[in-house]
Amino acid sequence: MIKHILKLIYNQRSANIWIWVEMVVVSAVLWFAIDVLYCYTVTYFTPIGHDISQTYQIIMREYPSNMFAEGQAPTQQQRANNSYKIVERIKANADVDALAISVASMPYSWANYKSTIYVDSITSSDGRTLCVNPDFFRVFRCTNTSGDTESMVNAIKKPGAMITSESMAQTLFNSTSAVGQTVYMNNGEIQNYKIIDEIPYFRHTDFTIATPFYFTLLNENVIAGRKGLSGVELVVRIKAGAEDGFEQRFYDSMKDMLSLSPYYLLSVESVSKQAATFNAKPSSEIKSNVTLLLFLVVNIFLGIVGTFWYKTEQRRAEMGLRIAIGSTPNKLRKIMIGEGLILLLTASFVAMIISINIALAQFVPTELLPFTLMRFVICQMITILIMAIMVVIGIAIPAQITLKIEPAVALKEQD
Amino acid sequence: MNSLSIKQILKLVADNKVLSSIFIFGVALAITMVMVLQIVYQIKFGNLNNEPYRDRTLYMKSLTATQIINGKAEQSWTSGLSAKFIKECCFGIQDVELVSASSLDTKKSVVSSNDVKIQANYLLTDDVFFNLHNFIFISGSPFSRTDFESGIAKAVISENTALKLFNSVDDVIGRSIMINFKEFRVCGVVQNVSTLSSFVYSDIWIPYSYSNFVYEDQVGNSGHTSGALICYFLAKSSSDYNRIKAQVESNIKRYNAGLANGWQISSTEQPYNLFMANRKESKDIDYTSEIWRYIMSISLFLIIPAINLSGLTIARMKKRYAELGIRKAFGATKWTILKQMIGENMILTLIGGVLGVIISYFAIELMSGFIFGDISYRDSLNPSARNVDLSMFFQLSTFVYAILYCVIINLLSSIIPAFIAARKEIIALING
Repeated sequence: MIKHILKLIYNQRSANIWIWVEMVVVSAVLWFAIDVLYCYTVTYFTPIGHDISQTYQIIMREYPSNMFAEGQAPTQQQRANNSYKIVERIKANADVDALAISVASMPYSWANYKSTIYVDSITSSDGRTLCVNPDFFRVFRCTNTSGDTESMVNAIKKPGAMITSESMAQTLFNSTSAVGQTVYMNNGEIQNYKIIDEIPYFRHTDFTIATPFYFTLLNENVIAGRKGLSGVELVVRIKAGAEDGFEQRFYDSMKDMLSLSPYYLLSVESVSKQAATFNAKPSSEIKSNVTLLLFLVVNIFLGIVGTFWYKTEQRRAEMGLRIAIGSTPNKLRKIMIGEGLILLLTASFVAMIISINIALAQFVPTELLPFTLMRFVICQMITILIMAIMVVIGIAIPAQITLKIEPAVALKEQD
Repeated sequence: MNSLSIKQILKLVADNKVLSSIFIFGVALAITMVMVLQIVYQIKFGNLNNEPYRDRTLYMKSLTATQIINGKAEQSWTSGLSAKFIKECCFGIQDVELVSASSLDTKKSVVSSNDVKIQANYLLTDDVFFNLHNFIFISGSPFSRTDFESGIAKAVISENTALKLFNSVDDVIGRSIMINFKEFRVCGVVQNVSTLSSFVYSDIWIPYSYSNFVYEDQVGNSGHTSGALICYFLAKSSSDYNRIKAQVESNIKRYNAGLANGWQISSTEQPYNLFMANRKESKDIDYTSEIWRYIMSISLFLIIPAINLSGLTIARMKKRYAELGIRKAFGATKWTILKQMIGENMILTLIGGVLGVIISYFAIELMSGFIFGDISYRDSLNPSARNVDLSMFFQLSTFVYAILYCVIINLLSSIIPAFIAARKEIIALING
């Protein structure tokens, strides 16, 4: 059968060459688009380690110092007291479940601090510094390696406590369990920390890869300091069912209560909305690759329908003859689809050689995933599968219509 | 080409309904993609209705300050420009029609009228900004040069903001609003500006000279060199770019001479054109590679369908080999056959092209969020602000491009089949 099909393909090479060339080009470009989408998909589905549903950032600002008349500006003591009052008032809001206070740590924030953690002067690891209050874990529903949140909330309160990522423990101690070990940081003076727990994942955004990080306790006094309330991130998790119109409701009911000199409430923003702006760039790339993919798929489909329409029309007499001597329309359809698939197979082979060269020339993105044989094989298989589906549908349609003829009619049409 | 051959072509289309419609649809799809790409490019880098001089404007949006002590760079940072720097280095340049400045980003703020409190974005700017860009004033006027120079608290607000604050756009001029608790007088109401107009979009525009402002340190009224302003130079012609750049450079050199403690300012290639200014990060790709990306994608969108269409063209032509054989037998030259084939193909391509332009119009209208969602980096508080200015769609240049792409796709898809047919021997043609 295959030999027979190969002979058919060869005999009709002038009709097949265009669709074959197109299959090669489309397969190669399609593979590229799929490869990009594959990287994003895999990254997106890597556990992110936090849950931002029902979380809202409360953005506080300060009146400028020159707004106050001489002698009217709040003293340091007043600033501190008002900061604490504001935090208490946010916590007391009926809709609010828990309040996270952090510096450059909340998911989807632009700020990002890094430090080096040492075991000794030789072994060290760079990690993102996440400086948070205990309730941070409740607000973002972070879980440790055994899936627990509450134990971390209590553990981080101990002085000198540190919770690291598994990847960091791996670099520092060559083992995924570093609980109980001591490490130090050197910011001019040496500070000792004890690792009390581990978190498997805490990815910054949906489309960033997991990097080493560590949590330490945020001294709540920081809000009384120079930075004040406008220098920290205040994020609340609200009670289930309170989402409807929360932003407006909170703003309206709290704007006066939270307006304690020098602070005022600027806005309340859902963290998911901030996530959306953060994802704008990857989502734009995803969109253009999906568009490219659809364009290619439609084109190959049109090409196959057109080519095989023409070919079946040309071969109506042959088809009629085959039916007359005992072939069934089903068998003929199989031969045609077989023809298409074998064409695709040879085209895919050539496309694969092109693809490998594109990959080896480092034209494929590797920021999210390294280029591995596995990735190449998976993406090639998806490419061939999509192409094969298009071939089968693209041939089945003209075959269905042209094969409906009576053998006698088909034979007579031959001029 | 006469009416007889057009008739003949239409007859041929009717005879090959399936192949012709696949051909037309294939062309339409390609033209749609290319046109959408073209419009996106236009919005990103071309002139817009409210930014009519983009092709002649130079942008300077950052400077790098480096402290050099004993020949060694001790520290350096990059930031926007300050009012002081703009005053000393950006004015008095030859070949420049206008110099204007605004804050680099809009700032979100609390804005209130008598009893309404809303959130709105404001942009700090100067009076020239309203000449450089095309604002449509519903009422009132921009703040004047004198207003700006004396730092008077006046504000131009958008239609949308006026409606939110006062429930009306009439009778708004002269009323007072509080922006971040500072009192301003409304001096003009303008039609809403699309967020796609990334350097112009805002809800409220106020003078950056207003000295009492919350972000005063950021615009550098306090005498610093670095701030948060961007400076625009409207050149008389884009060929003056290098001369303008050189003059700014020499102004900076003079400015540096007056700086103490080893500080030196450098402008790193700026001012530059919109393309460079639009880059979100400095490590983004450069101009040539971005242009190449566009050319590559446009070629991809044209070449892949062209391969497809070539196959279809050959299929359609094969059916007419006998006719071509007879034409040749009666003395038609290769060139005549070639011309006929390409001409016929052009008609089909143009039908597909018109369809493609229509589809792309609807695509842009219906999927503007999908297509343009990521262009603007100025976040709007008002989702409808991302309206696309479709008038650019009806510009002559758009249609010239559409026809150009049709011609390219036609040549790509018909030249090889036509050559094959024209080269064949008469006898081979008649035999089919």
